Amino acid sequence: MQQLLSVQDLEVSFANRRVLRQVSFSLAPGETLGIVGESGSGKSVTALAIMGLLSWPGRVTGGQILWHDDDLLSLPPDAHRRLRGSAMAMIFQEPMTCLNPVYTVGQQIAEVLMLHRGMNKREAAEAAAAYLAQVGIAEPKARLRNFPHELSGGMRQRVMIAMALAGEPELLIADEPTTALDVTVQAQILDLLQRLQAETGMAMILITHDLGLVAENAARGIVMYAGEVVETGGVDELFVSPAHPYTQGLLRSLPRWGEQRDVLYSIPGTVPRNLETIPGCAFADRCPVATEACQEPQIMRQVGPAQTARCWAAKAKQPILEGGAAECQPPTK
Amino acid sequence: MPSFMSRLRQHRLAAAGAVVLLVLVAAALFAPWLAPHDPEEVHPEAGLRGPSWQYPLGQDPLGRCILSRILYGARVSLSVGFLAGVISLAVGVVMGSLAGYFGGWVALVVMRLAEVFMTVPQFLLIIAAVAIVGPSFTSVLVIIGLSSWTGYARVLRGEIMSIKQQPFVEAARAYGASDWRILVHHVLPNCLSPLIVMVTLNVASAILLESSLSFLGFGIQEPQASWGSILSQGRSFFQSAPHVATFPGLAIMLAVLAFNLLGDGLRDALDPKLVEQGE
Amino acid sequence: MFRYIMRRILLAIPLILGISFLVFGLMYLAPGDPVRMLAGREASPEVIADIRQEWGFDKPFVVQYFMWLGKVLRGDMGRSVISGLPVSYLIKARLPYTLKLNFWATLLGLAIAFPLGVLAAARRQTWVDYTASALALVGMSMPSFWLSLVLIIVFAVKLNWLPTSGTGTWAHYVLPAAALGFSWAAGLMRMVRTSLLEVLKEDYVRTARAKGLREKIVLVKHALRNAMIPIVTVLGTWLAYMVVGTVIVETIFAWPGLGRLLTTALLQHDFFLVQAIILMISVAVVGANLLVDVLYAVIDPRVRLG
Repeated sequence: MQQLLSVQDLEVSFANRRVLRQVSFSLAPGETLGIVGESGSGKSVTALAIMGLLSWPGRVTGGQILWHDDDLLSLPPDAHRRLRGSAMAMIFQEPMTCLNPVYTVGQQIAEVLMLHRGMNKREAAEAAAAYLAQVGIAEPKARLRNFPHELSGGMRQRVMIAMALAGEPELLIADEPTTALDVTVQAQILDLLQRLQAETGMAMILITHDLGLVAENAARGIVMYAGEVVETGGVDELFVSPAHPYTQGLLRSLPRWGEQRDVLYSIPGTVPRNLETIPGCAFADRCPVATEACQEPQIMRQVGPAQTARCWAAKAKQPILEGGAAECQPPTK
Repeated sequence: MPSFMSRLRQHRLAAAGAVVLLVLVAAALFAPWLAPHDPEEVHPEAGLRGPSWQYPLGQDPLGRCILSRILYGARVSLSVGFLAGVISLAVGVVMGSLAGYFGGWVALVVMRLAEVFMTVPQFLLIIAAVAIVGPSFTSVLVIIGLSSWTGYARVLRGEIMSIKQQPFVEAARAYGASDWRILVHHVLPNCLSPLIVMVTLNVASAILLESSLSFLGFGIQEPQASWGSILSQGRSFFQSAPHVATFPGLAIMLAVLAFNLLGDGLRDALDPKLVEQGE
Repeated sequence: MFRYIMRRILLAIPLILGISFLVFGLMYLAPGDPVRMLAGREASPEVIADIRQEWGFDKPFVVQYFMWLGKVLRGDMGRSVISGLPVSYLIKARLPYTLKLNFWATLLGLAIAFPLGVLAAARRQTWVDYTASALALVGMSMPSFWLSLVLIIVFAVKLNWLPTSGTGTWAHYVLPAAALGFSWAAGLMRMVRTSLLEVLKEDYVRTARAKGLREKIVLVKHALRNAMIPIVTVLGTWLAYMVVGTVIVETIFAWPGLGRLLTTALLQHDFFLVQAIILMISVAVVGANLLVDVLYAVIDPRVRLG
């Protein structure tokens, strides 16, 4: 099956500082991919690079982003722009500030319709109301005339989703779509996204720091750390038998029902700021199984039928839940 | 790299402003040694001669050396500017503190007064007040100073009001700190950066105002000469002898520009700027 | 919206009263005896006493204030002590000239400031930005009288394209309006640039780009309107800065407007005239502020609730 999106060895720099290194993954049509990582891991930058929204001083300095076999990076800016909002759409974390305060909700949705679907004002207004209904907003026609500040956070996020849908995208990138919302609303929004995916057949990239969200909503996941992809795989494999020590650490940090601990486990150390100074694995200084071999640049290794990890020590392991640790083997040279 | 370059450039501009300012102040201070001629020395027969070796910036209608007059004029113009700035600062801080501290009707009166002062165009107030009191060095600088206090008052009042809400104020009072102490130790340091920026910009505007007043004849009077009054003497002759008006004008511009550059640079430096980063 | 406007108008009334009080007080303190000036030099004490009583100069300050205020509200702003002509007549004759000049100067200023400011922000830190910003800084530092003289020397004398003074044709408007508008525009341009740069960092601008809109549209439709909001809030005060220029430019270009009238009146100690002019201009500023408030509500829907 032809991949919808294929990112290959993407490298992004801010001024002269690399923030993304060797990022590769692919996405099939209709698939949901979760990108997991903490702040600073590079997940948002990846999304912005795909959309072509990296703003100065950030720029892509290497790699390819293939959309239906076209490299987005070698397209003229105008061609990439035409894909934005139509073939690929993105919603962001803070619905408070993501909508223009001086225009009505209806105007902002209609804008997409008039630009990408060639509708006139009247058609756009009707279609906008239909999209508002589709995202679960009551009294859509009345809501068209509301300004963003007149709506609640959850409603604003729905409006963002409607705006994204209006272009009939093949891919929706959702960057922490629920982080700024109440817990109850979070669930509603995620259900909505799943339903819309089923209805429209669009693929989705769900970016989050919340492992639970990925486990419930995505089919495959990639784990990012300090600007690199450290592990990829189906969610089942990732969460049941993670291969990379970082992923393992993340899962171990989650408190579990029935568990008895005095101290919550947390990965010691902090995320490195500057990739430039680290020749090898970015996680080495915090890794429980690090050796000198980790100073060498690491490559992605196949550790399972659909699972890869960027670590010489990685092997598909016994499930973490049973307290198994990664088996360490010296690198075969 | 580009963002660092721009910050460096900004600092360079502010530094340039400061340097120009120092040069001007030095020129004013050392005028007696720098001036080639006595600024009052008249040569009526040589009036309006253009720049020459002996008179680098030319001569005014009465034959006086323009360069010397400008150097001495720096003393007048710059001191009016500085002193008026100080007065504005003092009055503004006091008014703002009163309003913030007492609140209630005191604040109401002060703020309404400020509104009136801000609405009536400053220049009209100044020119009328100077005409009433009679123009002189003192009256000009006091009046300009008294008309520009509103900005400071607002800042002070705002700062006090926001500080009043903080819990540590109660705590400080509890251990016996007097309100005066709170004002000096907590309120003022927080306001310092906007106040400093305001002062530089205020002095720039004071210099412009004084020169405008003097130009119209309502400012510094003979025999004292500020840049504005020197320029106004050349007014009637500017078509035939433009140098009389041009050079003092340049001096004014230079001084105001220097203050503006300094103020700009300070504002950028004192404002915490977030370096743009990726996630 | 209507309530918002009404509230603004109601708030303006005490302000105008306060201003009138200040203006009246200022003139009251003025030296020189208006009665003597009205009566003339050879007037006898009886005539002087009569005039004093007729004009109410013998009453206490507060009473005089209200008398004056009452007359002003009825349109009688007194007479010029010099010419004897009614002040309102003198003002009416000059007002249109000042208004026209300011109008064109403002228009010119806006036409320069906005495009340059937007351009500088859009092309930040390129030579376009540096040039425009440098020009603005210099323009702001330039005294308007100096600029006027320079313009006259260059355009009227050396090049002989435009007249040096007076009114009459459209050509007479050019230099004074330019002199008046230019330094005002310089400061405004900087404000536009700064505000726009701030807005361009906002999340909703990123959303607009994410929708695939062309950068021009993002700039003008989404960013600029929001950038205007902080500018409009200070526009009222900013407009008032033009007054300095007005007085000076009118004097230099011999423009028969209120500014020039004011300087003459001050030199001649013509109190009623001075009072009236300052009051008129201040009221005009209040009016301009009101209009600006309305404009603010038009641009920013969040304000309309209040």
